[in-house]
Order: sequence, then structure tokens, then C-alpha cells
Amino acid sequence: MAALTEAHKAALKRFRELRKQKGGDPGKAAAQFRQERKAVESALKRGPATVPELARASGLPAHKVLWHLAGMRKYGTAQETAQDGDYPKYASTLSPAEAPAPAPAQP
Amino acid sequence: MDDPRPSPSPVDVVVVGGGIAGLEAALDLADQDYAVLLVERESSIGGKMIALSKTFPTLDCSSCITTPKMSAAFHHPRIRILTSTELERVEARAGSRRVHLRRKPTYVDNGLCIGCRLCEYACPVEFPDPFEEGLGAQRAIAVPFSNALPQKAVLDARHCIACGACVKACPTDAIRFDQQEERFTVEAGAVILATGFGLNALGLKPEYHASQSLNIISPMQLERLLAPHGPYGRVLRPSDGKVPGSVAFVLCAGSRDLSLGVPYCSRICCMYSIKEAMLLSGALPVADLTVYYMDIRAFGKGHEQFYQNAKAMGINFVKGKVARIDPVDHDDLSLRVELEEEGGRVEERRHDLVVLAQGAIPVLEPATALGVPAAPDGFLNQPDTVRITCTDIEGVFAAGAALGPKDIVDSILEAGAAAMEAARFLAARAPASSAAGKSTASPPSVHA
Repeated sequence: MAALTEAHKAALKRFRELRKQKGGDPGKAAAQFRQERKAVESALKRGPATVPELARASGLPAHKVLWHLAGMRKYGTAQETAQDGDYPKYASTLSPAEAPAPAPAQP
Repeated sequence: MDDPRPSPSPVDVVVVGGGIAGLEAALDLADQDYAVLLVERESSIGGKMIALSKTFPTLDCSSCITTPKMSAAFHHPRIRILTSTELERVEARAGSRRVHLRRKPTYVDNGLCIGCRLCEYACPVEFPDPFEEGLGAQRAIAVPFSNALPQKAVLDARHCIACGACVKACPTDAIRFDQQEERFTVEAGAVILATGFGLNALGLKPEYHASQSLNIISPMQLERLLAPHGPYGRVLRPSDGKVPGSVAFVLCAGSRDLSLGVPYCSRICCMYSIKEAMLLSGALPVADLTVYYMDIRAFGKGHEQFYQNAKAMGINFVKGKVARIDPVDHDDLSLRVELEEEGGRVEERRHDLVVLAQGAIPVLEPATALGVPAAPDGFLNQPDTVRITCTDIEGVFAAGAALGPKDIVDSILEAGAAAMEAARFLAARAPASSAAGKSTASPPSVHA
């Protein structure tokens, strides 16, 4: 892994400035993405679950959970494990140390 | 070969569009030793066909047919490929065609990128993957999809947070945050437009309420769900990850409809819907599959048999126009349909996934791109009823869905015809000293 050179930093700065001029700021979307992903990862820490179960545990809409699971499957941090009625179950492939701590169970 | 450097050097033929028609036309010309520049606006060649699961009426694997064509064009010594490059316009003057192009920045030096995807693994941002029709996730810097050509990373400036993680991860220092859009012009002996088609919006018919339910999907989304490496790895409905038990296909949901400005038939929907229903019956053996149609247009070779096979497989074909689609509880959908074969009885039918056959619409604006009016349907005009790949501009030919909606077989046939017209045109204008108008320049592809 290489370090950022001064030239890289200058190019990154110009890139950010140019985009700001055009009115684009993906920072908010990226922060939301990270928050949601963490919520799904932490919900998965309680063991394999279906999309509706994970939605209840994470407080996210079910379609968002499914979308995150698609990304996690693609990049190797989740997998389908079993089937519960009409819904497949998903499990984390992260080791307990890598995954965020599970949120307290909702009443 | 993919060339990271735009170059103003003249070529024999510029082919616009790297889908199946453009690939076929480029290969036909390059195999005759013409120097071809193939431009593609997306970051990979392959067009719509590379995203399909299977083809009708043979149920062949679509990427198994497309990938060898992509590879043959990509590695052809007489074809140079520019991806992320869009046609602005073709300027035809006496004896020459100047093709004005615009190359969008990918923020990656393709001469240095080795396609290792280390940048992609390091990137902390994901957004809805356009290749997966929004159903999967893509990182802000990524190789567009697994069999993309070129296998080069592309950075999406709308989603990148400019954290520099990719720069640190790249083993060849290929990331270029200072890359800018480039405009340039190529002199060409002839031009072939193979720009394909677009699809009208899923939410075009307000009575179908597509914007209110994630379970009203496009046929391309279903293609991705059916593809072996699709976003979920299996067919699930997007709202909640349920295995659908009852799927409806609504035909003519964006064409043959004057109120939408699309009075013509999109020609491919009947057959791809039958194909998708057949593939679904394999993927979901217990699912109830219904196709709502006005009339089934199975006019091509083998198409009628394909339709009959689908009926024999137990797929329900219901003649009747769907009047409304309403979201109901449990993320399901209620379809209000007039059953023509039951005396016009109106019924509400419940399904848990609905596929709307969108209309095929033009993407190229002939007025902007060529300075000539479009045909009444908006596609490229065909002034010669026999030489159907000729356009209104001398030396500019067209093939595939740029001329109007058509299936893969017909697109490939037209690509061959357009290549032949272009070769004939170049040969007729060639000075006696040159061989059939072929450029004697060395192959125009040189990696920077």
C-alpha cells in the first residue's frame, strides 16, 4: 500500500473543489451508507436471519436490508445459509472481532 | 484493443456503439482489413446483451455468446476501442465525415490499471449498481462488472468521497483524480451508428403506481435476477427478499399506446417475457406465472413454437389489458384486469411481483447527432426501402435498434448489412492506388 504523495493530495483537493462547484456532495449519502451497513452487520451478529427479521432488528426498511446484503454477498462479508419458509436466511462471514457489536434487542 | 489515448488520426470507419450490433459491424469490417474505431459511451463494451440471462427462442446463455464477440473485437489488431466516449455529432462534408466525440473522465489511467480491483476492495462507499439495474451494490471505484471489457477500474465521481483509499491501494499508481473530460474529432471514411435503444420509464403510466412499489420491476431487472451472478444470487422480490410465489408479466406497458407517444410495437417484449416466464418456471418451480397480453406477436423463426412450449409448461396466458395496478398489504400488488376471453369480466388479481414490459425508445437524436430529422417513430430515418442500413447522410450507415426496436438476431443481420454498405462505399471512393479504400496506416491501437 502506497502513501499519498503531495501530487495525489493536490489532485484530490482539486477534485473535491471542482465537485463542490458543481453542487455535488456525496458525503451525506456515504455516511448514511456506513450507518446502515453497520446496523445490518450488527443485526447479523445475533445469528442467521431473514430479511424481515434483520429489518426488525436493525430498524431499517426491508428493501434496504436486502440491498446491503447484496453488497455484502458481492464483497464477501455475508452469505446465504438456509431457508425459512419463503425467505432465505443470511449469515455474516465476518469474524466476531470484525463485526460491530450487536445493538440491544428491541422490545 | 482498448486505447487510453484519444487520437485525431483518421480511420476507415467509426462504429458508434459497442453493443452486439456495433461489435458485429466492427468485426465484419476489421476482418476485411479496414481500420475501425469503436466508441462506446458506457465503461464497458457489450451493450444490453451482456446483461441478459438467456436469449430467445433458443435459451442460449447470453453472455456466452456476447463475451467471445467482445473479446474478439477488443483484441482485434484493426479495431481500436474507446469506452466512456459519447458521440456528439457527425459532420458530413464533401468527401469526409468528421466524428465529434466526448470522452468522460474515468479517473483511472487505463494504460497503468491492471484490473486487480484492489482499489475496489479498499473503497468504503457503495451505491446502487447500474449494471444490476440498481438491485445490487457497486463501490465508487470498481471494474464495472465481472466480464467487462476493458477490465479497468472506473471511478464514479457522483459517489466518490475522495478519501484517497483507492490511491493508497493501487499497486500501479493508476488513479488520476485530475483527469478531465476531453473533446476530440476523428476523420472517418464512413460511420456506422449502432447506438441501440432505451426503455421508457417504469413509472410512465400513473395508473400502474410503479413508483409506489419496489415489486413492480423492469424486464432488465428480472434479467439480472435470473442471471447466474445476479445481485441476490437467486430470484427474490426487491421489497423484502421473499421468494415470489406469483409473478405477473404485463405486456404493452409502455408501447402500442398513443397516450404515451409510443404508438408502435416494441417487437421484443412478447418474446422476452415468454422467455423470462420460462426461466422463472425453472428458478421457481412452484410459482404461479401469468402473462397478461393484448396479443402475442411471435413472428420470428422458432418464436411460435417457443410460445406454445411456454403454454405447455403451465405458464398462464391471459388476454386482457391491465387497467390498474395497486399496492396492497404484505408488499403485494393487485391487478385490475378485463378478461377478454371471459366476456370482458373485470377481476382483481393478486401477485407478489409484477414485471412491466416497457416500451423501446430511441436514444440517439438524429437532429442533434446528424442534423437530419428522425423518422416519425423517433428512430433513425431509413430513406431507402431496400438498402435499409443507409441513413440520410452519405457515408453514414446504421444497424440494430438505432433504426427501430428489434431482436438480437435481426440486429446482427443488420450489422452485417451495414458493414457491407460501408465497405462498398469506401471501395467506390478509393483512389486507384489504394486497396478498396483501406487505410494503410499501421493498426491504430497503441497503448500509451
